[in-house]
Amino acid sequence: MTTQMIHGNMLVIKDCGVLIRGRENMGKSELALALIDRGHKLVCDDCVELIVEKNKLIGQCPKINNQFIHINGIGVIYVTELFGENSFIEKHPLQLAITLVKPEEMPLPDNLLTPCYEKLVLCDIEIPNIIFPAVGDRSLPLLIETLVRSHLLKLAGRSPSDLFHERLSEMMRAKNDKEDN
Amino acid sequence: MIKKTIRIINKLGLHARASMKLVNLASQFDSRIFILYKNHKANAKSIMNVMVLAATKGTEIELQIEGEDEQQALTAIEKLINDRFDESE
Repeated sequence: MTTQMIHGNMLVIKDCGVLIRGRENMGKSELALALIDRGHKLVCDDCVELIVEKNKLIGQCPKINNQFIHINGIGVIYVTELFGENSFIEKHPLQLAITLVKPEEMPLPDNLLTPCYEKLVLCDIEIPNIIFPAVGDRSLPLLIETLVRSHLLKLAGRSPSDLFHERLSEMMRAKNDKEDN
Repeated sequence: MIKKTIRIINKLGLHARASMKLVNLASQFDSRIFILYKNHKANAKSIMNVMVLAATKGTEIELQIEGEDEQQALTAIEKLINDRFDESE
């Protein structure tokens, strides 16, 4: 079985395995810590081990940093000791990547009603990769949790932007009909 | 400040995609840009503001633009609307 190491933090947010990527000093580990504080689970800080099992992409943590996060100024944090056993999970399918970029690195948005979706291939398996503008003063933990929940809503067939489009079209149709009569 | 009344001529009116084009274009200018329609005053750089107008084909909107690049902004937005937002009808 081949394993691949990838730079990033992996968490489980609402049963969805999420890889958070981005250059150094984008605040990935701090974001991971804040998401754990919001009740989500850590899989691995900084260097995620990827394996493929039954054609599924799985993320896990190397033994050496298992359950630890490193934060500048604090050093290493023993996550399960501070946040409880439920704050950590040994391994989990990886279903979504979120790449934090500086706002000026964002591709021009062609759709303001949806996240910026791209694709990422890891171990020959393709997963969606959301490019997300991480501006200094934004409340990243809340935004990333909401982004994942919104993504799951879309997977469940209730795309928020589709629902919004429907509402808008319906109202504009009603207006047109009124003017025609 | 400059003002101009423009008629929406594309078939679908200010639907989502057209609104996004307008907001993306307006956001490229430093001027403050407002769209007046009925009793609404929408900030042209805010997608929700613009979509809530739900301006349909044939309606007239008024653009109010204020800032150093107001003339360029007006020309560009007027062109977008008159080009039917690059839509076919």
